[in-house]
Amino acid sequence: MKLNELDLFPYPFHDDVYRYSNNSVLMDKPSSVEITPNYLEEINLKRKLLGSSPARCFQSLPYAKKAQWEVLEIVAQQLADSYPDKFSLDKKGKNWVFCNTLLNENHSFIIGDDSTLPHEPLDFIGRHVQEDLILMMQRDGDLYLDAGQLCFPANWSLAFNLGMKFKEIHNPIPGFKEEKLDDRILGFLLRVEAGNPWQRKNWSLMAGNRMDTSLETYDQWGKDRKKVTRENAGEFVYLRVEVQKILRMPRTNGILFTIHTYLLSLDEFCQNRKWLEQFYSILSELPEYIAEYKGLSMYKDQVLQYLKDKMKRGD
Amino acid sequence: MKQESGDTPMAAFIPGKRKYLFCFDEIGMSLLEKIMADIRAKDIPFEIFHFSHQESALPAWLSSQKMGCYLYIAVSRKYLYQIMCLAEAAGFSEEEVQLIGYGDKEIHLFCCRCHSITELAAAANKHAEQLCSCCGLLLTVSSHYSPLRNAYLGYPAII
Ligand code: HEM
Ligand SMILES: [Zn+2]
Repeated sequence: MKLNELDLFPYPFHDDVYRYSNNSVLMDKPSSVEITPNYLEEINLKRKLLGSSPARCFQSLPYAKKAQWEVLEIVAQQLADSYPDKFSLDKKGKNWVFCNTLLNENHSFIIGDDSTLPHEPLDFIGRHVQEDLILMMQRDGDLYLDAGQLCFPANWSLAFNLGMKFKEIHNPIPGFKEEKLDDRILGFLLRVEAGNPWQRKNWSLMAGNRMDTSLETYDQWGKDRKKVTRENAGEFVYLRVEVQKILRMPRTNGILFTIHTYLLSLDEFCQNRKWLEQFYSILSELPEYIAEYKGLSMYKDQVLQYLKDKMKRGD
Repeated sequence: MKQESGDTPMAAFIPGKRKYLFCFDEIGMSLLEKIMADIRAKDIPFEIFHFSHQESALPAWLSSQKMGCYLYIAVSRKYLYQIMCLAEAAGFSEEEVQLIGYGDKEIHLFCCRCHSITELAAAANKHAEQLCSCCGLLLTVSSHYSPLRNAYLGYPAII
């Protein structure tokens, strides 16, 4: 384990009880992406997945091209601004040069000219960041998933969701429609302003430490949930947190939605006594419909047992 | 659940219910006009709901109904399945619902593993599992619908 993994982990909980809600907060320091010590490892994995399963990992509709270029510009500019020792973006009129010293790559292209890039613009810049990038375009008072690069999904399919409206995307989530959460969150997203980005965290448990838990491969990795025991949960079960950022794009008026996925084994997580105790409260109270949707019903009891053992030992 | 699958869908009046509920889209409305006129004439309580795809008020409307209601759903066969799932979730039994679908008789099932489409009869039983016609994965039909793919999402039936 890298020394600071625990410090860097985005702890997702506030209260001892968890329910679905709009838990978005304004970002202190506006950004679309972040570089962590896992950069090289995750970029390599991303590029491997994009090569072997392109349809699973990248999708776009033709009319979103202009907005894709804006995504490239926002992300590349932010990388250069936030990490000047690692990235640079040199703009001479329409001729741009993007340098990534972590990968030792230089890319020259003409902004707006697709033929000068090796991939579509969003697909191109996505290969330089750990985040999954989703582009939601705004039309007729709604948001549509018009393009995305998704290598590390939490069990959903980008190929299926392409072109969907915000509420259609969230149809599988129990209670969302009934409690009009989808209406309220959509209203919130439509009001997000350029220059004032928001972020939220989503969490789940995973049996195993796969980053690429796509729906397309669910029949392979889903089985691992059956292998969880009270004894192996500490090493085998991971808390999976997605830091999601929501940015309004000033020119095309789209929403850029970035997802940074973090995994931490329960053994490491439980080194923080407060986290252990709060997570135990949350998990023991978690309603079945949420546990079921998050895919942890099958091994929730084993994890609770494990957490209980840990708490006893610590006393 | 009584399901009309002929070419000219017809709704049948089922008498003796405490209250009638009508859920329809634009074309579906014309298929229920006669029954609604009869019920109005007889002064029997009724309520209507104009369905549009991704209507998030529908689950609340369905759940707010008391026992003893009879529900007519007249919509494009594309959405029939989705609404049927909502009605079931709101506690309606098969005997309390009449489905009147128009349009294509097939619904499409999107395989989560290989992205192929398998055609199913629109009247397919929600609980039946289906084999992907391309990769052979056994799928459960979900109510998650993609307008772009014109298909429902199939999840792996066995994990
Ligand atoms: C605008 C960009 C967004 C996109 C593209 C997006 C996409 C998704 C997708 C694909 C899922 C998985 C659905 C499935 O099972 O098929 C999901 C789940 C979810 N989304 Fe969003 N979402 C967005 C914004 C938001 C926002 C702003 C909120 C709340 C404030 C939110 C709350 C949730 C919740 C609570 C879940 C369930 C997660 C779980 O239980 O693990 N989403 N979202
Ligand atoms: Zn298949």
